[in-house]
Amino acid sequence: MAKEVVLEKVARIEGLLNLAVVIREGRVAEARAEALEGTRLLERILLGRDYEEVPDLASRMCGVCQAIHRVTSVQALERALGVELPEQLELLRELVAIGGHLQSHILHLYFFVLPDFMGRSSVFELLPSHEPLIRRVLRLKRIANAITEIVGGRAVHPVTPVVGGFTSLPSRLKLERALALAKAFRDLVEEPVRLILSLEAPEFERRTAYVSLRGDGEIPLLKGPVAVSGRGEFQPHEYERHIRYVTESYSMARHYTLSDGSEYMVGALARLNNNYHNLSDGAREMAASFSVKFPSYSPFDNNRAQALELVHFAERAIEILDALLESPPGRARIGFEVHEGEGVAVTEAPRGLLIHHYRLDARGRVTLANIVTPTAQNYKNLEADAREFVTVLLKQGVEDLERKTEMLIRAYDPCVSCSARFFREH
Amino acid sequence: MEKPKVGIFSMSSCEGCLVQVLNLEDKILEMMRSVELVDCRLLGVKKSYDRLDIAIVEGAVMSDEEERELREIRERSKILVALGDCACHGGRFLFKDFKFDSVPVDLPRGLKSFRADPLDKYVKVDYYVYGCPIDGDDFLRLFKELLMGKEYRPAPFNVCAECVLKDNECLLDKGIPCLGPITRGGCGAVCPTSGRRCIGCRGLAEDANVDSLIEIFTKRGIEVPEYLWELKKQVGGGRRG
Repeated sequence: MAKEVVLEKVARIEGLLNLAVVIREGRVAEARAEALEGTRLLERILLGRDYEEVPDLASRMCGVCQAIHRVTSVQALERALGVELPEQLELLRELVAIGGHLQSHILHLYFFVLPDFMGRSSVFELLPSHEPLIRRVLRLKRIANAITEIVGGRAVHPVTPVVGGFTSLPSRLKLERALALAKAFRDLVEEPVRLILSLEAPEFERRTAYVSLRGDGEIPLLKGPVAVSGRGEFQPHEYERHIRYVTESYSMARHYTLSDGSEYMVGALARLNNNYHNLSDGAREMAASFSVKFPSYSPFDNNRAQALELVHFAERAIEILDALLESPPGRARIGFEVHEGEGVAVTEAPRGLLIHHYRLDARGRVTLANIVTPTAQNYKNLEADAREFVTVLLKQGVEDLERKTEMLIRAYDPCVSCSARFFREH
Repeated sequence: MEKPKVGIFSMSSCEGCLVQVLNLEDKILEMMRSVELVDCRLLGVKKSYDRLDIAIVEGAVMSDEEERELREIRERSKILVALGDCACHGGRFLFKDFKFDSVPVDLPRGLKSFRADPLDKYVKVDYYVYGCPIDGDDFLRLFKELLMGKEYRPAPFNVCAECVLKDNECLLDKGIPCLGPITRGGCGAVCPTSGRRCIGCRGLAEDANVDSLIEIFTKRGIEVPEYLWELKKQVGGGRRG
């Protein structure tokens, strides 16, 4: 007889998600990642709107990774209008993205993931035994937000990035302040990162395709070809030929697969599996001292990959700020003409590959909008992992099956709100 | 004295307003000394309780299930706070001229139609914290005043009030369609201060005059967007009820 176990509205993830597991004869026959969040029709809202309004609306996709949504929408519009930014403005954009990554990873690792490993259910329960650590990660979060605020004008839903550059630029004094903050972040983060790297995750491996941007000497956040591990690369504008979506009657979100129907994983683990050799010196040393190796086929290593990224991107932020102070950007915004066009931008959100795709008419009004979020791309992989992981747990006869399965879900750092969109264009 | 029991709940939303609360960082730890958080899925808090002193609800109501949940929360709570624009207005500032019933959707999970409703369409809301996202300091002020038994009152003035105090150049003068004059302030005019037009995320100011804004747009040669005419039909020159 089949038995169905449903983990309802999983705690400590962004948004509302059920995971349903159907067990038949001691094996998992089916796993369903059910996004419950109301569908937000954002692509429909964008239709007919002026391109200038798009970044403000697109950043409302998500409350955690709004910075990267804003930057990605701006980049897609710039492709559509043929706008190319000078290097310094690109560096500033990268800095906005880095601020978002740092705050998102801190939130996920220490508020959502850490309590599991300490046998607690929330960060508040950790407070009596770990107050100095909690105070330190709160401070790290504040620093990450302050960096975003200096460049983006506001920490949540930053306002300055626009098509052609920025509405205003940070002064030299503010850039110096950001540099001091990035250095403080780098110093303070060392110990909390060591803690995450030392945690013993459940043992589980399943090889899948890892999809991320690939860089030459860097871990790119805003540009580069898209690497599909073991299968080669594709260019951003070709995305529709390489991934496709399926609609599931049980989920408010689209679920994505590669073009052959197989599942794939995006996120920090995919980024490091595809770009491990480009980790900064500090991050690489730390990985070595804890014998963390990439490529890794354990989804739980997504947590470790995020921890290493905290060090890597803090070091990258220092590098960027040094470069900007040496040679500051001249103008905030470059001129361009509005015309018909189509553009795709592929970036790395904290949770993985993010695609924004727009078509504009001659007046700059949106006639097509498509947004593919990381969590939507991960659902099929999460389902495949859950099938195998829960089957293994059943064989071992573990008692805390539900808790361990929740840990697997959390390792993906899902962001259900972003993914819940369901709009038919005809 | 027993600490007030607090629950934090999400309807459909991006959870950005809760992230703003978390962004209060150290101040949250101080707040937690004065109250007992008994329910918050995002943070993994789930204690058993019957009654809540304060329920904080973010997000819009988008399904029967959410409507049911909201009614239950209301029944067991002394005070209900709507957190953010989705909870206060159903996130309508994003939609503006967009009519829900004309949207073709394939809705999963047995849903019949699309909706995004503010909480007060279904239950009584005691306090509103406006904005997309909310401002953390606003939330802190509400909290302090509730603990002291005072009436929290959101900023009644418009975005221009704070914009002027910051000595910003008026975006309308530059021909940019800024909604500052009709939008509730309290945000510190964050968007115009960064050179971005106000997009109206806190809803209408208490004395919003849409007629007058249309006149300003027209005089300065700014194209009047369709949604302003729609808004004028609803509120005209006076405030919205």
